Amino acid sequence: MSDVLTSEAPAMIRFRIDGREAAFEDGTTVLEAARVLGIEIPTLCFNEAVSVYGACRLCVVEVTTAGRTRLTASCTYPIAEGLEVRTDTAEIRRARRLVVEMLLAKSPDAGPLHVVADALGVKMPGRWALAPEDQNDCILCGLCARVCAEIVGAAAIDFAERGTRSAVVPFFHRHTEACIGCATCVTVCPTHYLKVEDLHSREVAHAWDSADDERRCILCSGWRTVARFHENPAALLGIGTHGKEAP
Amino acid sequence: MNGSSTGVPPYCGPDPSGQPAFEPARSGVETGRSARVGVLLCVCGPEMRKRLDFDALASFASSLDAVGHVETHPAWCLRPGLRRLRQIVAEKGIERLVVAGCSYRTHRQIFATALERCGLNPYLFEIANLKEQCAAVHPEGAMARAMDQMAMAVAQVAALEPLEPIFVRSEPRALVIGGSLSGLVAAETLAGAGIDTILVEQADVLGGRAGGSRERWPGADFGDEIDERAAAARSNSLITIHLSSKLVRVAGGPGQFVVTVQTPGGETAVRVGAIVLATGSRPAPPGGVYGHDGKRVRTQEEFMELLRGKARVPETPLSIVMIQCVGSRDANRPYCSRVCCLYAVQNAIEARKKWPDTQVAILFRDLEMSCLTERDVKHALEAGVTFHRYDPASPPEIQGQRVSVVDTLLGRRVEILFDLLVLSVGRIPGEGTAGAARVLNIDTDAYGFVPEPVVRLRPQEHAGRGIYVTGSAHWPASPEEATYQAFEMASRAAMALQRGWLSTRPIVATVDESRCLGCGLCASMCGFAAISVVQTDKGRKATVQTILCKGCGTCTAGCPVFAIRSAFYGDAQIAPAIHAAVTP
Amino acid sequence: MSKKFIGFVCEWGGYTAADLAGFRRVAYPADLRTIRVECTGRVDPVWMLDALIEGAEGAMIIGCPMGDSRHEVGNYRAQERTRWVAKGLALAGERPDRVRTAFLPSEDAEGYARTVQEFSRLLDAFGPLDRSEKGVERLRALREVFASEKIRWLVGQGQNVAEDADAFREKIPPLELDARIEEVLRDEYRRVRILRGLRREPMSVVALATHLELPAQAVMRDVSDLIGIGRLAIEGHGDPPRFREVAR
Repeated sequence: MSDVLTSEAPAMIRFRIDGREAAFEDGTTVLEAARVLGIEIPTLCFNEAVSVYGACRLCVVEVTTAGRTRLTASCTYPIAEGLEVRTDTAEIRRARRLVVEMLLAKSPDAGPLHVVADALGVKMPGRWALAPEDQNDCILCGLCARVCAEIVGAAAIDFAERGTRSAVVPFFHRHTEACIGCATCVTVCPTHYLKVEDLHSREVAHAWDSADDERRCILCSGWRTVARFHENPAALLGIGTHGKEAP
Repeated sequence: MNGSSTGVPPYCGPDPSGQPAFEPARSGVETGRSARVGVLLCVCGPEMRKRLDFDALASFASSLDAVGHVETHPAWCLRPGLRRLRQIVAEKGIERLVVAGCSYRTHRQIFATALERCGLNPYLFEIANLKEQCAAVHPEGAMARAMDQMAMAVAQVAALEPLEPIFVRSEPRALVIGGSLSGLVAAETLAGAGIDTILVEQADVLGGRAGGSRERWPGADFGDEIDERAAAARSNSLITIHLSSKLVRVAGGPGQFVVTVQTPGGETAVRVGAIVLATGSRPAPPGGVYGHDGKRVRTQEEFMELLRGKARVPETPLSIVMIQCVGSRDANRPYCSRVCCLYAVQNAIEARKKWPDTQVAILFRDLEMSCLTERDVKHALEAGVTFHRYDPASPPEIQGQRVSVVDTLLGRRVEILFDLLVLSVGRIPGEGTAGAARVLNIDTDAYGFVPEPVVRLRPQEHAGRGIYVTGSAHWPASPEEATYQAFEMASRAAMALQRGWLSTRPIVATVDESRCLGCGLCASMCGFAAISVVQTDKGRKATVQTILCKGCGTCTAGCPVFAIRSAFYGDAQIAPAIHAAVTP
Repeated sequence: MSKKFIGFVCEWGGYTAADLAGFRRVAYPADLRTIRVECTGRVDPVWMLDALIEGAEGAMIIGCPMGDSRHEVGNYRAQERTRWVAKGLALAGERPDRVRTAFLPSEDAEGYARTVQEFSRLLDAFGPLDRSEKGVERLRALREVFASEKIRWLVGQGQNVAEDADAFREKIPPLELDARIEEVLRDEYRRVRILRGLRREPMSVVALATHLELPAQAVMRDVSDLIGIGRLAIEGHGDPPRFREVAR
């Protein structure tokens, strides 16, 4: 995003979206342009405050360039001169319904997902379902990991494992000191999957425990009581440091 | 508690390199009615569109004192919005910003960065949450709240003062606690980087030969290396060594620790910028297991005494049996101490070289291969060492002169006559670790070692900023590992100290000495020991150690005479907000 | 115009809970006006009274549960300060519950909404604050009390002594400590009212007592004490004597 504000007089790219002429500066994505133009494109894994990820594929649109039309995620696709974009065709609606059905296969009980499904006309339950032990409300959008890394600066949780075992967890599935218990991940989770719980022991990879009753999140449990010599919150938040922090 | 007794107070102020962190706010920044506040209304959610009348909000905003420009946009935080913001700043002479949009917590950074890039001070900015904290939750009455919250944000922003990151000088000196291998390497590295280093060792010798323990390093030449390093440290003019000494007190914070060391000559306090903890590990006490007597049944360390000729036995042993995992990996001490297999194999090879007619057998549960290598095992096998694997369910038993063990690889019981039994007991934290951790106020794990905050994936950090833990104080490490760890940690400390300063965000408390009575109530309230009362030439006054201040404002609200100011959340900013909130 | 009340929310606990309530669309009344602070420990008792004086029907502090404050101890202080402001309100003939604290986990969206809902209803039940001249004057006097060095010191140090021990290394029973501080608060409130009365215009004891609706005997005692510490002086040579505040 920084390039937006440092360069002067950026090149304006002209393109068409849903039959309308539009012009935005080079580097703008289709989703950004659509939002500014008031065109609704549904999203799940998108949040303006963090980097784009393109995981959920709900924001797919049809782009036509050099005579070829294909479906692509609008959140990651940069506008190009002469691009044609369609945001609401039968093909797109079919694709979005498929996306939601597949998400429902893993997260059949996620209330917010039902809202999206209703809006798209998806019949529930969907056609598929994962084994019950693989089902939970996490749609692997990665928003929690991104806010933790980019906004909070703690980077306490991230993706691990592969395939059906993919999950966002703290390292080695063990509680970590890096988590500061701020619950920002809880606020951005689109399916309300993340919760915070009081736990009464603290288990970390070296398997020690503490008698302290501390608050921590279900995934990561490292809210250390802030003590002297603790990390300055500025270091965690990246505020006012301009990359000049001491390690 | 404060380090006032040791001289010049730390430098606090603008960037000592002379370059501002960003362009300073344009000259003539005014507060109050004439402040030029821009109000950006963000129409970015279905509830906002439904429940808020943005035309009315915009015209209301325009009517507010100090507002110079009002504009509505569907997505201020996206690229096109930020570009428009830049235009507005350039064209309309806006110096402060209120975004009437969503969450301060998630979106603050986007706008703060944008303001900086436009040459504005990022602390002259507030977000009024009209989304999650208004439109989304108020089916009725959202407009009234929105208008008030916007007016409050404008009033607050108009009263804000520009803030810049605070730079605090860091003391170009380091303290290394522990004079064994990792401590010596750390001190050497720091001194090599031109950093004055103080090395504190609680024994009366360097090199980890703490009084009472007859530890030797595995590998015949290693002892020489330690001696060389110790000699180099002694002759290094940048390294000051205190033997029979320990750390007793620490005050201050990163870059400006004041450490008090107790030496045979008394206590001495000194300012340091970084602290390296290198208190190492030591063998666990065998406690009589397997009939340990230090003669016929020895620990590996006691065995090395024999190998190096420091101890004698009446006759050369003809059969040596080593047992691994003694007292380790059980309910009492569940962890593996990592280095015992390495030590055992190296000692076994050395024994076979020294006494070619002596049998050496190693009874192991598993071979820990992160310190030990396959090549070592191969050399051991070539040297004639035999290995037998046992299961913890049926551990080796001593029957008179024999060791009896079920070899799981052979699938049968094996009996070995021995005249020397060598036990690989596990390792526990060095003697100085507990005390040092207490003084430094850092956590230890259940076994007394000092972990890093994000285990295994960020080993170079420590939860105590400015405090570095290296070597076996952190977790049992082989000599090679301890060396590299010490090198790395000391390098990081050196980098930080060579930079010469630390920065911290400016949302901190400051004391107005002209009002301060020196009553100390603030110091009693601070959870971070960041404010304390010191003697000045104007009498006793409270003073804030900026690098420690978290900006919570508890002291500010508790001061009996309003002598403390909280930046950003000051009385001067909150009072107008309260007024705007409830005045019709 | 419908009522309003102020909520001071800490960035880590209260604000997050409020955000989450928004994400989860948990509705609550719109008469709340929030002011964000870094920690609830920042909330000055004087702010709560300013809120009431300026027009709010109540003031609350919403932050992290005890022991969970990111800033260690701020919420303990916030709680204690609010307790004393409440006692002050009672002295002034107002409902002490117009100021309160609420400590919630940052992820408790429903708790946040419920807290705001309950407070809104409570304030409705109380009805509006007495905003007559005398009513507002009582609140302003209270504000001056909580801005005074003496009371600010006692509130802060009282908490230290309650948690620890006094200068003689003895633990004072909490009720007794409270009673002592309350006595000082009562005296201080009375004296501030007297000072404020005489600040407007010098008066005789009887006139002052009538104005403040206090017994003349009590007023006389306070006036003597205040003269004794140099806060009041006799004005002119009239009979009966009138007293004025001494400029500081």
